[in-house]
Amino acid sequence: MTEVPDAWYNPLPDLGFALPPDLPPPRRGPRLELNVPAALVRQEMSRRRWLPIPDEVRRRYGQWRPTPLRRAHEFERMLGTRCRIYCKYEGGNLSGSHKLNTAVAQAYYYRRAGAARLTVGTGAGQWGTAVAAACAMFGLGCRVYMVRSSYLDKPYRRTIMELLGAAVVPSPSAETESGRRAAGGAAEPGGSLSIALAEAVEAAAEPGVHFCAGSGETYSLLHQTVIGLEARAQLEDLGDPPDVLVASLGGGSNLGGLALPFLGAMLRGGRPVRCVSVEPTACPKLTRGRYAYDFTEASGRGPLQKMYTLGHGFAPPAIHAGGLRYHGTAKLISALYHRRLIEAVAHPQRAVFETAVAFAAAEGVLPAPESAHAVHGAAVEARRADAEGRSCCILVGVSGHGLLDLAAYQAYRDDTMLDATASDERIAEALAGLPEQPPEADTA
Amino acid sequence: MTDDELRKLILGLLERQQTVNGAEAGPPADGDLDLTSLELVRLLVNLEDHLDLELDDVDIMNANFGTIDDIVALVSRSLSLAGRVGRA
Repeated sequence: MTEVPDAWYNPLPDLGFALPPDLPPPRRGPRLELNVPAALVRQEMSRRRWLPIPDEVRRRYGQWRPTPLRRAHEFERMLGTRCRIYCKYEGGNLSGSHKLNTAVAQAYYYRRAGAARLTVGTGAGQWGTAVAAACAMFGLGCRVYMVRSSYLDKPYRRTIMELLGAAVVPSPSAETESGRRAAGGAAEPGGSLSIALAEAVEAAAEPGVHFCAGSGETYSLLHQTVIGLEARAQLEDLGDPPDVLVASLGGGSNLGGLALPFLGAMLRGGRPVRCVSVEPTACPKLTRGRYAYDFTEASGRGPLQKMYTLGHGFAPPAIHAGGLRYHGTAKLISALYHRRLIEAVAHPQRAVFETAVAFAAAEGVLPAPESAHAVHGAAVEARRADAEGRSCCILVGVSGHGLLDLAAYQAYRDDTMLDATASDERIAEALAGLPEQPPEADTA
Repeated sequence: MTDDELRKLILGLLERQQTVNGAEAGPPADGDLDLTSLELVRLLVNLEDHLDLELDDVDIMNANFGTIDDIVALVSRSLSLAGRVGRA
């Protein structure tokens, strides 16, 4: 029987290359106060393959982990495939998604470092809900800047966060310079994750208040490896190791959490496995973005990271998978993609929802719109294998439930959902706003 | 380890960190810090490695760093608590 892992997996010792260093932003203040607990940076810089999970975090994990891994027999039958499809389901907690895995760890370390309150930016609301839940566990205050379009579309996300004691602010707001600037420009009245993050950064200026970065930082990906570690053990118990892993890509923590333990085993000489990242055609950062140094949010106050990006000023067309509307990709995932250790595909949202509805009817699980991209990607992989006369084992990461995303499913049912594809012009315009690149930016 | 030795170690680590980052400037001659928050944490974690010491996360989070001497003071205090420092 699989147990909650007692250590997070750190792939850095197995990669055989170092991640490109972050670069300082052009704007700096006169004195420095720290926003990140040193414990998290120690993890990110560690050369140890296994990082022990603190007892208090592991005890919290035990409230919903290990998460179920189940073969999707009915979905396979519906597709008429010879492939075996397994789902690793991360929706069975209060936040409804995988985000709680790192939120709990981060809140623990922030509290240990003396923080009193955390500020966060959230797109679809999953990260905001997860941090609100984690703050409630560890007695921290929480202020969430939620992308305005999601704030309006998903009122019950707000309800959960407020029940947990968090303050929820629609972004762009009038509270911060970044919010006022964005609202004044009105280029993106519904907001974007990049703007919400910028507001959360600004709001962390008071003593004891810290910005909690979210899911793209390397330490977040390390925390998420509990997903892949459990899945490896569960499939090992079943004697059916995967040939293909499929996960959706927002910032990269879901994909990384599922894939890194399998990729690490492969890099250590283990069984080969393909890893497929699924993104929306509205926000195609791996398939159409550029590998370059960019800001992680719109304020330009944080360090520059080397990533696949559409430009920090990119405003994706409105789609229902708000968590996938982020301009950039975690630097670890970007480096893996740059070295062709993972693959990437993009799908339009109507096809994604069509598959998700069928999956819900077949398997009794309504995937979050983000997770629906992975489910659709898995169906595409199965059909391709069938067409090529192959049978294979597919592991799909169902990162969250869609029970708070019913407005999206209603739009699909009402036939008011539109496919959205980022235009070449919009991408080119945003990429033109990339910061000046260092001379060595083409390497690494 | 004396404060002077600590100062030299910090300058050496800063130089190496800036070389890795491709920065043009060398270590600050006037002792002022010109680092991002994350760079500063990285410097502190590098110092921990070199000194085989773990700084207190609360001390780090509550500190306000403007100069190299601010870091020297923090590390020196931690070494002192561990019974490993002779100030100079």
